[in-house]
Amino acid sequence: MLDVLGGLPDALSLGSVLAMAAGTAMGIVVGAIPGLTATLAMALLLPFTYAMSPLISLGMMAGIYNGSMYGGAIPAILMRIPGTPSAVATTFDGYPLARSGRAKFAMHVALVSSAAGSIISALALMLLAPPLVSFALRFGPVEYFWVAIFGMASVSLLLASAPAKGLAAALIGIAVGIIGMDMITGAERLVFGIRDLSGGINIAVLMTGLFAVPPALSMLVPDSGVGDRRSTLSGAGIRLADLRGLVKTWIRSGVIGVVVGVMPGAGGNLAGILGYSEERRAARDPSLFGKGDPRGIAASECANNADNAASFIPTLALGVPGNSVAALMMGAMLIQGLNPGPALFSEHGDVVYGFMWQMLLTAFLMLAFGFAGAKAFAQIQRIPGALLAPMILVVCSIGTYAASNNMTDVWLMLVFGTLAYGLSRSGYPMAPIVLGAILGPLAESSFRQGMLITRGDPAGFVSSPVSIVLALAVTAVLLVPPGRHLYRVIRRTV
Amino acid sequence: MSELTRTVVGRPERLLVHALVALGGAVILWETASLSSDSATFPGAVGLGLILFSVISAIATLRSVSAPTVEAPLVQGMIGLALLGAYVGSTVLAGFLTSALWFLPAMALVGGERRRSWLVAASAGFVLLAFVVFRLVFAQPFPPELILGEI
Repeated sequence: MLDVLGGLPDALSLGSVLAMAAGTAMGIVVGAIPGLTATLAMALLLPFTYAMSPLISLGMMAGIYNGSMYGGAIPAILMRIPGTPSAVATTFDGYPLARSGRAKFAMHVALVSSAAGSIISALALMLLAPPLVSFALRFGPVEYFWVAIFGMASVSLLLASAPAKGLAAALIGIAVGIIGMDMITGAERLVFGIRDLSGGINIAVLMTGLFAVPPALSMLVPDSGVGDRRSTLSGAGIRLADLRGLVKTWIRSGVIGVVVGVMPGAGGNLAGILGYSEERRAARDPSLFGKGDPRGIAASECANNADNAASFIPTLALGVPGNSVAALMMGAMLIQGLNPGPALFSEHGDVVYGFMWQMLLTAFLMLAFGFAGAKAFAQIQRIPGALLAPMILVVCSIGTYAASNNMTDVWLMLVFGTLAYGLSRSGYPMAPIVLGAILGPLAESSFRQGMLITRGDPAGFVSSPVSIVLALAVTAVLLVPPGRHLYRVIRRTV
Repeated sequence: MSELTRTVVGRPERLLVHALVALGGAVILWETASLSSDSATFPGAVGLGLILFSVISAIATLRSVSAPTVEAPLVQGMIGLALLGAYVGSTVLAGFLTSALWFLPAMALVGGERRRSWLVAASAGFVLLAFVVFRLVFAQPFPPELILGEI
């Protein structure tokens, strides 16, 4: 715990506080605009982080992540359009409450509940990541091979509409990840004679193309929800007495959000829906839900924010990102020369623990900005999407060029953007591509080291208790889709 | 976005994408043929897997009719990508910000924005703001600008 406290002074440095404040404000704005998500904002920021110190870039990203989750509630309440997918359940009670003339109250409930969720999540990160690191110190190449395979398999199978598409997406990511020189034999792989590819693909270029280009294109659709003018902030705000009635809701939803956050492949949208459903189930009077019950807003917003910092527990401790935002955060760390995993805690404790504090402190910044700027944030939806889209693409291009001073990277960003657009339209998920690009090379190098250690004996890959458990976990994840199919067939026949 | 706009993707387009994924797998397999077994194992498995999973996806697609998507409709998406390609190409000649002066209004027109005063003001304002920000914040050189000089 003392190690964790050691990160507080770094997180409170002037540069870090300014970065967190800028990130939080940016995050709320991004979340408040339907169509823009935390992943898009972080992907846009990623190439620019080359010029920043670690805690500045991570502080901005922490602010964007927490802020955008609350920002998503603004159009969900005012217009029944979730600003981010995580705010779907917020529309159920937020919009009816706003329609009854209590929009300001609904916005305040969402804000305080989002902050409560972020605080619970950051505390979980501080408490759970260090013990997991102590455990992970026992891992060798064999265990890391299984961890990498588990991360890719679970995200691929849980995020995709069809398992084959999820796994194909992960393989596309692995193919991108292994472009360049083979570090063991020195052979060039998948370079196709293009000299600029021999050094490998810059992860920031890949992420910008995948996560920024398709959403920007979708904003060109006139009815995308951006530019809506129906936003008004009516009624009185929240009182202290109202907060007392929501404490139990926050605890329940906070725990749900943390559990969902730790699970690979799940995300804020699942946390929000589960938090809402559980709150409704636990309520003595569930008939009020869907008609403007503040507990519905509190449950959804607290759960989707409680997912945030918790999703970094496996990322920081094991180097396995469980969702696309965690993968982007890992990308930001890799850009800074920081390799997430147990060694990071001993070699760069100031950065890791400082980042944990940033996840906590941005919750309070969000609270301050949310109360002070509620009216301004409510007007953001008026910006026309047709103008925002090209601005995003220009910033993408400039950022990608700034990362390496190389026009080839800008062309590659366009290639990845086109690839993402085509694949996404056909139902291929994007997160497994990033995970494949990050974890694929780790899985390959761990596999080859493992084969050397076990002298080519495949049985050596299931010789330790940890490797057996991980191999069983991978098998269980792979059995989920056929199990689901079998269950459906049995239900249909019975 | 997913709850806002949904268009439908037809079967031929999805089959084409699966075929392209399989083709990518085949190219990877072909490329790894010249590598030593140590270097070829992983990419080879990736190539085979891509072919296998795209075939499975294609079979599933043949059984279904159409699928909804949250992405931009094909016409807008392709025009947007073509304009982005033209923008990246023109940055080599005219620079990022000078090129943005034609790219921003062109893309906005594709997106249905018709207010001329808005287009001019937003494009000029954005370029000016970006010029100030990148000149102040970033020390690294960008390609020379045609009308704004080096930033």
